[in-house]
Amino acid sequence: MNTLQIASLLIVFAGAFGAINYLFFRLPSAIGILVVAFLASLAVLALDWFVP
Amino acid sequence: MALEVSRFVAELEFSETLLGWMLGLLLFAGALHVRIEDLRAQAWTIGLMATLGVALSTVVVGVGFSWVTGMPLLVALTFGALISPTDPVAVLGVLKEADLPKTLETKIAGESLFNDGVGYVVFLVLVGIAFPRPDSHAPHDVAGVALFFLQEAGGGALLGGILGWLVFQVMKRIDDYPLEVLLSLGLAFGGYELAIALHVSGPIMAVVAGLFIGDVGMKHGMSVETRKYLDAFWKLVDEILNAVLFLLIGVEVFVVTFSADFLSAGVAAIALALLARFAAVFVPVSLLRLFRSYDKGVVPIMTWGGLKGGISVALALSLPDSEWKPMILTATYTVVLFSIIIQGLTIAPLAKRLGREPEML
Repeated sequence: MNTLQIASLLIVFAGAFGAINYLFFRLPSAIGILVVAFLASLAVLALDWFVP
Repeated sequence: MALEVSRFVAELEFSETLLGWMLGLLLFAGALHVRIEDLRAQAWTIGLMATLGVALSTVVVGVGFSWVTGMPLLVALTFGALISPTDPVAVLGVLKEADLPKTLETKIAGESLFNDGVGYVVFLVLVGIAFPRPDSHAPHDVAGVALFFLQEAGGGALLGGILGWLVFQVMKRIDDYPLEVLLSLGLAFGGYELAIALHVSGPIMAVVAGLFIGDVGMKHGMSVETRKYLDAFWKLVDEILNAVLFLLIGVEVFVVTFSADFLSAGVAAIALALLARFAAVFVPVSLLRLFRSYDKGVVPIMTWGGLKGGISVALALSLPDSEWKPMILTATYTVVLFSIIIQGLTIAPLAKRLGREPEML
């Protein structure tokens, strides 16, 4: 993946998680993005554990 | 799938991305919004906390962590150095609603800006000593360390001042906001890269340049319209970079090793970091209390509000590989997560309760 693709991916996810936070969690923006990203990551890890 | 994501995240080179340019931009943007008179009024507090405070915090965490985990002291000290800088972003955003006195806000923001720069230099010195490489030109003796500090910190400040002044001279003669914003971007990006090339501290350069443009530059070199646009532009850059940064922190969990030992080390690290932060705040404030007065809630607010963020994660990732790195990474990550989520979400109510001072008559 080149730098531009990575940058695009990051920006898209930051925006998406920010929106999710705003609509569902109402935490301050930056903190909210961290929480959603963390939960999403844990979800991926958990999914991988159950469905190898 | 998780394995692929893991590998992707690991390859993100979080460290280089952050330390490479995000940090410079973030510090420049942060410094832009601080007024020098406000800073000067809190100069002793900020100065003492950013130097003595960082040193104390490094030692407290280093010694404590070494004792708890059996890690060699020098390695534990590098952990102490990287966990000491605070991240103002989350705090200031959250504290907006707590309606704190301006002096406290300046203390928090100012200290955070400078302790990033100082912490980074301390970290570099300690890494050089703890993980010596044959070709490394890191100093090993006290005189060498002092010289290194002087070169990095002093050089960075000097470069920031000179470049800031040069850009200010150009801006004074121009009244075209897109061009002036472009010039400020050039200063931030170019200045940071130049600092690195000259072996001086990029973070400190960014802070000094940002302070200069944000204060002298805005007052004497810009029209009202330019000021508005420059302010708004950098505020947006700040917010967007922070959003991406916190996203990166959130997904770094893929790179962290979860084991019972490491997690308990992480919990110990949380306690140590809080204790260290308390020392870093309490000692300078107590010393200065002999000369001036402070709002009542200063120590608890600045202790609990000392959030650790991206820079700690980036520094931890930049450590040379060693048997202790995974444990340090896990501990760093646990502390950062705890401080941003738990401390970050509770600091506003705490501040509201403590900061509520009847205005001085």
